[in-house]
Amino acid sequence: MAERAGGDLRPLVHAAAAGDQGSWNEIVERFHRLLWAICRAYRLSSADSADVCQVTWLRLLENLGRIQDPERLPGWLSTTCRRECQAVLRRARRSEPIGADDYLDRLAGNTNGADARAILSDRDRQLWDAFARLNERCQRVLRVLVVDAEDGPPSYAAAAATLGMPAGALGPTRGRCLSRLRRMLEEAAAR
Amino acid sequence: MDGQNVEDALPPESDDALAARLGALLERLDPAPGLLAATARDAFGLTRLDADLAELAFDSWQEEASVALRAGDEGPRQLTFEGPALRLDVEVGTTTAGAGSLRGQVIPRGRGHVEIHDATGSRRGGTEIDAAGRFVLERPPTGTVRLVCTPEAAATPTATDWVVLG
Repeated sequence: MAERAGGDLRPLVHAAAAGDQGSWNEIVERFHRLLWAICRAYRLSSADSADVCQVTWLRLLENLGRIQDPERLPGWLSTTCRRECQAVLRRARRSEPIGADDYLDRLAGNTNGADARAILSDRDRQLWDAFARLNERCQRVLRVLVVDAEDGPPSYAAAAATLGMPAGALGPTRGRCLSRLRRMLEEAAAR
Repeated sequence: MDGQNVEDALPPESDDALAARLGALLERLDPAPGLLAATARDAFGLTRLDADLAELAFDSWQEEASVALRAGDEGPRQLTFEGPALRLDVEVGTTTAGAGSLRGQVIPRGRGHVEIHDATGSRRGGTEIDAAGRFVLERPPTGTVRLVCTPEAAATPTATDWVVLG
């Protein structure tokens, strides 16, 4: 997985801090999918996810001029987002794992899980079923790592900050989770 | 290829290919709403307060504590904000009706005024800070909010970090 060169974050952050709307728009464009993925990786509802994303962006706006190292922006955003997710989960007092159907319903925004599955090809449905059968940790890891930004996947630093693990552990963890996913696909195909 | 799934002939997917396929599927099933990005972009243009920032230094609901809930672990949420000119401790009380109140303590102690703003920058409530630096804001709005404190002795207001109440 390619690491995006973080070198261009510095001028972006500085320009946004100086009041340039275009630079701010670029920052939003780069990271808003990652923030959404983090919220959904923590199984927040659409409404709660929207709240968390909003507060994360507002926090960034207030702190733009204070960020010491713009290269660390992905980690800063991810950590802020994750912590707000945890606060929401505390409020909801909900930590039981959700059934695969519930997750699909939430993801698809439908009340009828069957409708959502009907729009998928066989191959996609198998992939979805396999993903839903993964343990919660692998689901969370993969949900964050496979999100695509405008110009490539988000950085390992961001994912590590989200998942609360050292960046060096991410590669092996990603590999293990993808292997499990692949194994589930193969088992399903063999039935 | 009678009766044979054409995919049987494909080599096993690489990690990158599988990840890309999963990413595309999740993007289809659960895309980040465009409205959220638009709202984030628009937030840039909102009027900035001429105020010091009191950062969120502590949120009892953001602790990495064990998820297992102990009996009696239902205490009110505690927030602490720290800025260059003041520190603000807030207890988020709840009532059975759910509306609740914000009980605050400002250090250094002294009279002043405090307001609560929503994400559009609108004032959604306010009250006086007493001589001991205390205040109570009844029935705060839910959602993304921040407090703006103006002690009598201060030249500049202090605005807290945004938090989500609810």
